[in-house]
Amino acid sequence: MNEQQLWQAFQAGDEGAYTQLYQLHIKAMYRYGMSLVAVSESFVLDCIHDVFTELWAKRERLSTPDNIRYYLLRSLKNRIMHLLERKERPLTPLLETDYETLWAEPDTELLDALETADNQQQRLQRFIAQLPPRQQEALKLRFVENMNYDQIGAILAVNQQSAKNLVFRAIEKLRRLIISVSLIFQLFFWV
Amino acid sequence: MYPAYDTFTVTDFLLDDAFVDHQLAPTDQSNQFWTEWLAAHPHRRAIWQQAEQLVRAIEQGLYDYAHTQLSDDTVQHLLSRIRQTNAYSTPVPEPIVRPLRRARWLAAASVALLLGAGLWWFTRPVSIYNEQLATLDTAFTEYANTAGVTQKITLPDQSTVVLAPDSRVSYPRTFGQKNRTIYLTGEATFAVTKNADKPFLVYANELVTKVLGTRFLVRAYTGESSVHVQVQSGQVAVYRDKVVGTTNKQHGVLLMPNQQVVFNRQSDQFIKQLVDLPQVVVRPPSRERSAAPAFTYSDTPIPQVIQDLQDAYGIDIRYNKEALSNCQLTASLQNEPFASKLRIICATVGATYDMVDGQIVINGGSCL
Repeated sequence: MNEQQLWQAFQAGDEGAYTQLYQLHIKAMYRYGMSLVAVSESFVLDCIHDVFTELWAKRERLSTPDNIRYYLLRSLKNRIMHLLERKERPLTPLLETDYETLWAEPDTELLDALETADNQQQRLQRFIAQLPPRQQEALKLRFVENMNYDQIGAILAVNQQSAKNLVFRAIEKLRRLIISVSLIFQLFFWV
Repeated sequence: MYPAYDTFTVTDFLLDDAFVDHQLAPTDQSNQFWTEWLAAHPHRRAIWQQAEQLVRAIEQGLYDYAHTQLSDDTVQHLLSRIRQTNAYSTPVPEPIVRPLRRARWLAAASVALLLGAGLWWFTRPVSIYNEQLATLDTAFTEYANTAGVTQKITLPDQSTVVLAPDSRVSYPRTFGQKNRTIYLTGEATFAVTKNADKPFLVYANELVTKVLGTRFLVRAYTGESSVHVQVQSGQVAVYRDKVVGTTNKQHGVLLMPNQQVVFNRQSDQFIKQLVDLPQVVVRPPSRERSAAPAFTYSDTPIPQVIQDLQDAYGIDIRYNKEALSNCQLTASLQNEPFASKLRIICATVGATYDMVDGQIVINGGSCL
């Protein structure tokens, strides 16, 4: 049974299919949720709970999504944002708008951090960790969750072109960094 | 119609869904397409390979994210919670767990009220406690008591918390900087060290309890329809956390020892009353009255006896002083609980008593 068939079985009330969908996507939902609100695991788990229970309650009225993971991650983000927006003090990093300035040269602080990294993987992780949150989110959705740019745009509430721009800026920085750092670290032979 | 791949830069490839899809999850079809394309465009192969390496670099940079750990226990536990909620909502034609707009929340609440089962509180999707933690700026320390017995925890300021089973407390890393803020779900008794500069605040469901140094109990389980705060010594102020809607007045009550407030979560109201079993209040030894009274009386004037009760339990007792000034009591009340002591006094003078708003009022009675 492919995912779409599982989905239809779940809609017909098949609890086994529902459980399989849960098992297929729980890890992605968890890591994505935790990347949005790292401070509270139980809050993220509560929100995943809400997404699945609501699916069950509304199952007969749902259509079959083309990309189920996209559908679930989007529902999860909506749930998280909704609950956080009800608070008087919203979580800053989530709502931070993405007007960061493009840096012309890699700053020395980052270079120092990269220099102390043990290996290339750590260097790349540190590099991504210092990107603006929305660029990081777009990279995660494109290169780990394997969503297309239309879907990423929908999750980030921007159009497809803006979603591409977020990834574009991250990639440009990464390439520039690789060029300047590879002189020291021989990161890649091709630059 | 394919894009003009032969004019693509490295970045263009990374912004192309078909290319990235192929890198992440190649299919027979995509393999065939790119093999043919590379054969037809040998001079673009270097660019294509750089793009591929850049994808690998990004994947490496996202390694921790992609490998976020989630234990099988957590997966199973969450699944059973989901099933439990589904079991509640299945027989109900209109689901109680509603999507998320405030107006609908209210509708959900009234549905549950009609059911009369308090079901709403059990199916409330996210506890207030978890919402509060999610909005903290800093990391926090959490203690969860999953054992069957109470657990004692010492906080950084040496205050102690006795945590009832199935309860959790958390405090942020900033605990003790400006004030001492702690979040509770479930039941806990707090013994707070005195520090007038840093108020001790307990957030529990809709209530905030503010103290400077005292002993008190808070009971605020997510699944219960009321929140209790009981004072054992000292004074505490209890406020509504955030009043829903437009009324912004912070209304609250001041509690003295042996008083408690019960907050009804559905009607949003406070009721102040005495605790069921008032206890003799522990006082610092330096006070004039060095020990609790012996409660042993021999022809003792009733006003004196009542004064002893007030002092020992810290409970206000109103009565007609003139009418009772000639009454006397001979009895040993030492081992009687508070309510029995009161009953004996009242029986002696032919009076009755009421508990009103956390105080005792003695009605009638006289001695000629």
